[in-house]
Amino acid sequence: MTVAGASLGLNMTDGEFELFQAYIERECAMKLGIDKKYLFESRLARLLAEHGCESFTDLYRTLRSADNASVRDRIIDAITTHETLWFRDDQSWMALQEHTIPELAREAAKAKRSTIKIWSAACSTGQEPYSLAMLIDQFCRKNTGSNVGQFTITATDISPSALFVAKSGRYDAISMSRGFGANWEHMRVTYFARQGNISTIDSKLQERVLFKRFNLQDSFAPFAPLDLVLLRNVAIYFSETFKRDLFVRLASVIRPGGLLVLGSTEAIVDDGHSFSPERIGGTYCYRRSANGR
Amino acid sequence: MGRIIMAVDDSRMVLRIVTSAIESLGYQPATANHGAAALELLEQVGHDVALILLDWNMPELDGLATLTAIKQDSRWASIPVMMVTTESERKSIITAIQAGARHYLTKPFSNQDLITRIVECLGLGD
Repeated sequence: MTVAGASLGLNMTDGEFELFQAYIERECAMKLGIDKKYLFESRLARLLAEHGCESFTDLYRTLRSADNASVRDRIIDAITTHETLWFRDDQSWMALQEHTIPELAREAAKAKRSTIKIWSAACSTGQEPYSLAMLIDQFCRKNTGSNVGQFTITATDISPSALFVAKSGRYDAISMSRGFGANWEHMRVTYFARQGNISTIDSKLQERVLFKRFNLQDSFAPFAPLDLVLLRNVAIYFSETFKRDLFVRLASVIRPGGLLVLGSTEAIVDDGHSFSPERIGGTYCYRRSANGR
Repeated sequence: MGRIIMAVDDSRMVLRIVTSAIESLGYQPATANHGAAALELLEQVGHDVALILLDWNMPELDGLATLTAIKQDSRWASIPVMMVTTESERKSIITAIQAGARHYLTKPFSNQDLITRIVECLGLGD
């Protein structure tokens, strides 16, 4: 495709926005309002350059022609990459450290279960699952009866580039400066080796997290049965319909008594009474009901 | 594929941020603070350069002139270039595309956005 610079449309029309809005909703269930048009414009404009397109309409045509998987991945990547930080939302992490992880270990021992399955469902560049792996490691060091090997952490994201960074376990000084509040500073010292500007996560911790590319629209069955799911600061982007469906599907893979952790400003959309809100430490989590649908 | 990512920017702060991101991806950074210095640097390390991040507004030789010079030199023409522009300069990308840029990043960018953009450009996550 040739580029006619004079007609290159860097401003997205409302009609073009609607095309991409519908596409993103179909592909990754994210419902972005017209107030996010700037995000579509600035993030997709770079794809015009990469694909030699003259306008957003042209990019959409390229995307739709011949089921172009490579363009699709680039678009999803461009729209869905979000900022993350280490131990984001202090209260949630305090609750996980002081209550949830000990409870999971206790319950597993009581039920004689050999594994505790945890899913970090939108892990971006890895800060969340690695933060969790650090907490679990600390817990197991302090509690001699516990076994770090019984905790399995699966971390997924839709963005291949974010996953690449997550799997590498290497973070620059700026990434390392984001998060790690006063309560967690010791984690940075304990679990990272620093060389110049670069900090690398401890290899044992890295091995404990299994990273996979995953679209939240796909079946959750392979993850079941789960003891703990972190789905933080993601559902806010989804349509109400998809959110309902998402929580129904989560309820079907979280074992009764298991926990769902959302972002601190998020609330569950649950028609089936499958989850009950529960104050744990200074935050709220959602517990999978024993008798909910 | 080369192991060096070149960053060309007249802001020392931007170069520090970009250098750090490049290193986190296991690449070696090579920096220049204007276009003429970038072309000189290419003479030394060009054979091992995987990507060039090029600022638009720079003294001596600006981003567009530097991009044009790179694309006209058969030794460097195939090296992908990511233009880095401010939001107000977005329209300049039209000219940059015509001159051969195939990637761009808008300032201000977050560190995470920068890193994932480089990963995308190099096809590392594919």
